[in-house]
Amino acid sequence: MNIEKTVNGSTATVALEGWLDTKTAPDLGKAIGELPPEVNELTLDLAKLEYVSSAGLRQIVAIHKKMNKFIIKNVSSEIMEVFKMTGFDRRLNIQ
Amino acid sequence: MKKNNNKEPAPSETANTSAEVLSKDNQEATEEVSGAVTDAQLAEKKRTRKRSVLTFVAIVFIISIMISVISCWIVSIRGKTAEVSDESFDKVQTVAEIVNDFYSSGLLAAGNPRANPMPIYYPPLSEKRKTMLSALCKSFEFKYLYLFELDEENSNLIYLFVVSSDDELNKEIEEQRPYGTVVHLDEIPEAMIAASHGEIKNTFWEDDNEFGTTYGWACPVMVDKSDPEKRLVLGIEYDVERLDKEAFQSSIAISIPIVIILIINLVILLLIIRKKILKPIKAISTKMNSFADGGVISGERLNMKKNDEIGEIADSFDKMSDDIQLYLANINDLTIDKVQTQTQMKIAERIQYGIVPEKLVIREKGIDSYALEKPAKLIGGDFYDCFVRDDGRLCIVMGDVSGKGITAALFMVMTKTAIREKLSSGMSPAEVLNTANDEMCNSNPEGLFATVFLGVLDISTGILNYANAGHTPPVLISDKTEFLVPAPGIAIGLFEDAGIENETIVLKKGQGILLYTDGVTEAVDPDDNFYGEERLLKVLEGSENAEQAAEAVRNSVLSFYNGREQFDDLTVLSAFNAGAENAAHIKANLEEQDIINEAIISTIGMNKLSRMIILACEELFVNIVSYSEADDVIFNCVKNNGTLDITFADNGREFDPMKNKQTEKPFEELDKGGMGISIMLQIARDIGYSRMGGYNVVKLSFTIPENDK
Repeated sequence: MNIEKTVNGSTATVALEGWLDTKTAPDLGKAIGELPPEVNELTLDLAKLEYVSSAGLRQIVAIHKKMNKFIIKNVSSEIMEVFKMTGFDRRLNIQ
Repeated sequence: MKKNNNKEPAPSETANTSAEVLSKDNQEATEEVSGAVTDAQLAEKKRTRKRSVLTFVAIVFIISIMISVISCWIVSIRGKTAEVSDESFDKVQTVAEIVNDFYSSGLLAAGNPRANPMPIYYPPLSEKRKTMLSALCKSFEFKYLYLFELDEENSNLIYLFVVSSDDELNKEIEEQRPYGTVVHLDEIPEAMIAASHGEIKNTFWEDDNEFGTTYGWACPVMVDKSDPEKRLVLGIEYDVERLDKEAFQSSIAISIPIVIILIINLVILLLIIRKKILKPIKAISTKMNSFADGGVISGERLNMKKNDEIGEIADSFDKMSDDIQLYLANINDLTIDKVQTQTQMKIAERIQYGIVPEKLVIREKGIDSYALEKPAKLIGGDFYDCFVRDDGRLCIVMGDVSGKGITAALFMVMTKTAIREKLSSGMSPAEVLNTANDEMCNSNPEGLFATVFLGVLDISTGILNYANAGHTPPVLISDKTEFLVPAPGIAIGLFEDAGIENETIVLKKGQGILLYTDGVTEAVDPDDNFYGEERLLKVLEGSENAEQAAEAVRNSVLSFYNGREQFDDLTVLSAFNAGAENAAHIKANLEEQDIINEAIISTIGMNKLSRMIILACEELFVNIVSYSEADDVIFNCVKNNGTLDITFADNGREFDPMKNKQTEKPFEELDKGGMGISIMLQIARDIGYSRMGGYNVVKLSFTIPENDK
């Protein structure tokens, strides 16, 4: 999975490309951990994300807990389905 | 009315005594019915017999008596006639001399006797002389006495006098034949002619006139000593009636004593025959009649101690009676036994043939099984079963019942049926054997038992869950052949609480198993060598499917017999894992996820659907890896008509994902996990869980389009 980070002060955008599964989820976690501590707003761009599993979802929850503001955008219908299965669509700011 | 004198027979004796009971009933019935008939028959025979033998003797006797009496009579007559003839001949000569004397004195003057029909010089007799001659006649027993001259030319008799022995008759004669009567005879008897010529001929004639039938003799009478030509004829006649009467009387006199003696002999003979012959014959006959009356052989011997022909018959009869009884006893025993045994065997055969098919092949949905049985001549008790149960798993059973005959056949039927029922209901192999064992122990009075090996094979994963009850261990067939080593277990039917346990083994794709009975390993060749286990392993090397394996063993064993009679059933069942196309053994390691994903993608391509399925599988697999402590995971992915069936089997601790649905967690805690199973449950159409041997087996089904990219 490719992770593209864009940091702008306390705002960051992370774009994922590929599959966010059990294998790659730790990478996301690591990437978030590597963000500057002042970042408290994150936008997760899932335009190129093809697949997400519960491991990935766990990371998303972790981000949600860490950030003050958390937006997920460009969610494909497939990914959206998974969010719906797990109730993420109700709790997260999905655009 | 039939009376049953026996008390209620024990069940196991029923077959033996039923024949006896039947024959006893028969006997009583027959006696009643035939009693009257036989008596009448016997009486009839009695009469007939007496008539035929003794009557015959009597008739012969009587005929011979009659013949002898008649011969006597004839002989008598002849004798009498001869006697009379001789006597008369003498007598006539005597009388002739006397008459001669009468006439020799007092001859009157000569003259031509011919000129005068009345010879003047032959005067008639004086009364005194006549009376004298009559008396002579009487004493000589003549009927008539007469003197005449024979006129040969004219065939006339010229009577001088006729006297008879009877005074009354004399008066008549005086009127009818006085002195000088001329009587014409058509034919003159020879003796008369001869006498008139002076010849004395000892012949007589028979004369039949109004005075009766007589025999006559003639003799010449010299009337003039000086002239021998002067002759007269003296005739005497003897009454034939009288002759006959006398002959008859004398014959009677002789024959009566003879007849009496003969009759006495006849009676004595009849009595002897009766005693010596008829009585013993009747005894034999009576014995024969009652020999097998009413179907029961009486078995008594005659034991007639005689040395004659009758004794021979009696002895022969006794011997025959003994022989027959011996023979029947043998036949009875043999027949009953033989028939019983044969019938039992036939029934047992039928039962077994009905229950155990010669061949059973299942080739469907990845299942490859092939079973066969070749029974021995005397059914041995092997059985097998092979079927797909509701959950799609293949059940294989191999068993061997001890004993032969109907009870063994029935035990086999019960065992096989019970096993199938229990397997079909979803029980595990050990459970099946343990419960079946308890049931058989409770209804097994003859102490039969059966060794059984049975297994349940999950085709999608190759997991074989099995249990063993004392049976010969099966052969595992892979790149090498070796024996499976199950716990020995104990044959079912012997003791309750067998405590048999489940064991598991996994057949990878292309691997198989072969179940068999000792009819294989204990087959014997003409040199008394056993087929043995080594040979079995060897013959199975290289088998790639169930048919190959089973037939290889069958042919090998049959040719091993090499002409020797097959004495035990030959039964083999082979099952191969041929269907788990994509089954893979993977480690319980996250890295293996790629294999799973690859399999799914290669089956239905990369698309939204496949990603969803992959997601469901990932969740499950991660769960397995994280929590199960398994070290072997079997994964299978099969496309079936609009469904994708995926199987995960792990040998970790027992975990049923259906039971462990996570409860709703607060969102903030979801970073710790807990979503995976929920996701899986929502994506998969059907989820099935079973614990098989030491494996958790989860089957997921996903709907896929009929024609996917």
